[in-house]
Amino acid sequence: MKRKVTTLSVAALFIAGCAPDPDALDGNGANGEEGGSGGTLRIGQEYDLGTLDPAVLSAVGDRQMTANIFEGLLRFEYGTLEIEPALATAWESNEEGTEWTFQLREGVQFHDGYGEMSADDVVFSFERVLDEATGSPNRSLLTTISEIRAEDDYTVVFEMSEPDPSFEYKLTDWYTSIVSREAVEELGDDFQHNPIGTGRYQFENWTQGQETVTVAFEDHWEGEPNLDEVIYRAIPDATTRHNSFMAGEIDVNQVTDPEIYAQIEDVEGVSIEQVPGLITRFMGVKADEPPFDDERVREAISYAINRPAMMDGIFSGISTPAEGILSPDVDHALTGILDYEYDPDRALELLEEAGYDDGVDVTLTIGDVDRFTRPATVIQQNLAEVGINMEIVTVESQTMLDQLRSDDGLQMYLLSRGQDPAPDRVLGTWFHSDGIPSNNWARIDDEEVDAWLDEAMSTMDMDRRDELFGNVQEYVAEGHYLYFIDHEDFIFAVQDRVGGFQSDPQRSLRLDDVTIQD
Amino acid sequence: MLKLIASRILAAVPTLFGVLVATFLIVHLIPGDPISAILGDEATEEQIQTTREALGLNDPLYVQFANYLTQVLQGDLGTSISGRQPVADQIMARLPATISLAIAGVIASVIIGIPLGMLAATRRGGKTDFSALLFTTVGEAAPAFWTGILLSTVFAITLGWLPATGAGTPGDTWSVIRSLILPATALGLAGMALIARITRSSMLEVLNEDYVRTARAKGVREWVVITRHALRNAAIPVVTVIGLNFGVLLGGTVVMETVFARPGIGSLLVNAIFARDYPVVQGVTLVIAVSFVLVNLVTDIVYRFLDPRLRDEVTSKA
Repeated sequence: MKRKVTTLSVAALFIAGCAPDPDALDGNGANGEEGGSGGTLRIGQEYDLGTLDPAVLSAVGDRQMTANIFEGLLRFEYGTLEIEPALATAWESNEEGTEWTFQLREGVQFHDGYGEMSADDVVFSFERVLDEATGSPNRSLLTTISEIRAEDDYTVVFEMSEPDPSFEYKLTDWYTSIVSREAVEELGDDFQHNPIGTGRYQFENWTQGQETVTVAFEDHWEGEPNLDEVIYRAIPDATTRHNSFMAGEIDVNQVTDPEIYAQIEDVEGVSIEQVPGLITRFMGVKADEPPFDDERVREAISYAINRPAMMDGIFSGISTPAEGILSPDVDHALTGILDYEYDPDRALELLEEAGYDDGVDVTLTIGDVDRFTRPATVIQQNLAEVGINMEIVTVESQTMLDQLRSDDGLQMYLLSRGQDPAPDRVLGTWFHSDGIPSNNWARIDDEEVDAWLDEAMSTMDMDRRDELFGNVQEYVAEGHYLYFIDHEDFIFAVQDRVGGFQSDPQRSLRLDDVTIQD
Repeated sequence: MLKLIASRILAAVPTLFGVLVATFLIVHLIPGDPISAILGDEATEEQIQTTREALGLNDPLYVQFANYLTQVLQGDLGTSISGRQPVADQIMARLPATISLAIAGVIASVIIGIPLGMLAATRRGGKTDFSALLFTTVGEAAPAFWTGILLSTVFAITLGWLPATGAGTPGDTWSVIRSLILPATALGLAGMALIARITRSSMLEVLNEDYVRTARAKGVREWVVITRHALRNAAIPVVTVIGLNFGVLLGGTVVMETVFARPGIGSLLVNAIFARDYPVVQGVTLVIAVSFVLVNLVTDIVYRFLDPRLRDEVTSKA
């Protein structure tokens, strides 16, 4: 994470935040243009709107829609993972990280005439997520906050019961969006389908199963937005969505299918926006049972898999080979730690040492989509060459997750998992013994690992975090618990009439600089 | 007639109860629950447990069923887990798109099927008969989703004449009709085969009857013989098939709504199954079952209008 020096921070305090050149954030339009280009942008979405209440939503599609309706205290610079101010202009924490003070931007208006945002709305937004009655699935991510108070109309202070080193990142997430207290109290349950935020686009209407319409919020603090209207069309089937894109009915479509990718690659009038996502595809084993309780067997698999051939054969152009557990954009990610040298002879030796020279039968469970069945088939062939007879069981993706989370777990599994810009949640739940069985599917149960994680997740010393998280990543790689394959790219097909569209590592679908040229 | 309707409705009660029990059991017994769909793959044990508790998924199955049954009897289909909205509202919002598609599908299958069957019957054994047979066989054999994608590729993407997706702009009749043409044709092509073949065989039977010979002998024009004398008598099995077909088409709308991204209850059901949104799956299934029962009832009543013998049977019993 890049840190800039703030003009407002007090020297005595530990500087955690920043304020960029104020001129850049004033004036007209995100890209400094006078007004906007106007026009309507139509985005194809896999899911229909569920709820637009940031406190309770979790679906990716809902997140993408709220990304332009709501704003948080902080945000990422458009298209990157660099933290920058949003509704806060400056912020600082004490050295221990137990008290955070935020200066709020003045003159920020809520949609639909709900007035100016004040510290009271900020306090309300956080207390609402923390209130168990709200039923927020992300409540537990904020429970280190012991008190939130408004010092004055534009100053908010958070007291923490223990330091939370990834607190700033959490303030860029959807569930910490600032909502209008007046609107929530007035609308009650209707708020989820009449969301009132401060974002560039305000909610207009929703035709169930069909589309959600948002329109430009002219009083946005960064000036009038570029577009007049943004329509999110719900088209669940990937082929249908692609057809709709090809028929020119939608302007932006996320592409996940390699075949569709191949079809659009050379189409005139269409561009492809692509970045490596915060996501890792990997195969894992359950290491507390034979044959994978033997480290030699696990290591043999590392040598048996011909990963370069797999990457060339199936994922060429649509993903980035993994060099570590975490996507390289994640803070404290260790890259270059995975030694995936293809050496079937070494694998055979290791298996012989482990007493499996007559071969061994194992079962791999995967979700029923191409992005898992294809690599699974390659791995099956690779393993067969060293005498590991791997049966592939294909189940529906939800079912597979539930099987993984059950007490029995799965012997072998292949899937993709998303990550945050901070590694706390991923490393802290995948490898901590507390994560058994819900997230620690390899069943790593080691007090040393637990201790590293516990300390890393509660220290504000970034160098120490680097070291501790580094230990964990090395431990997992050297123990051959998981076989990391690649980081899938987030790919969007975009019609040429759209300008300024950027894919980002979180596929946030923010539309800050997007314009339409007709 | 009223008595007949009443007895049919009464007979439907155990059927619907059976549907309720079966759907409830199936959705709850298939592996997986809504938690993964709601929380994603990153949820912690604490989040999972809190959410399960809040949704009442930790109660024993019979308690969950009793709760659900009580709700349904009070006319409440529950609240969608993922959409956080009353299920009844979701269904009502999407029902028009499905009903209009199913009706348009029936119309398409009748418009294509009956004339084709009549043509084949009157030209029995000839080239026309053979071509009609071939056409209906291909139409029936081709899966509706394939026909749908084919139609969409040709008429929406390549030619750009009709929309590839959606149900049109509400209130704009022309755009609503335009968006119906492709999915209704795809549905109709799948449904017309049976109608054409039943029309053909039923017509062939009737064309050999004495009254047809009499009519012809009287010098009635062939066209009038076929439409007035033959078709009317050949219609009963055809009506049965159309009635049955309506149910099949209602099922077919699930596929068409997916292929053409139409916001109907079929696509609602498919998405709800993937999200393990139990209340929505149960609610939609119940609505589909009720419409099946209603269509069968209507078919029964139409029979009695078409066939005086059945009408008398009922009257004499009463």
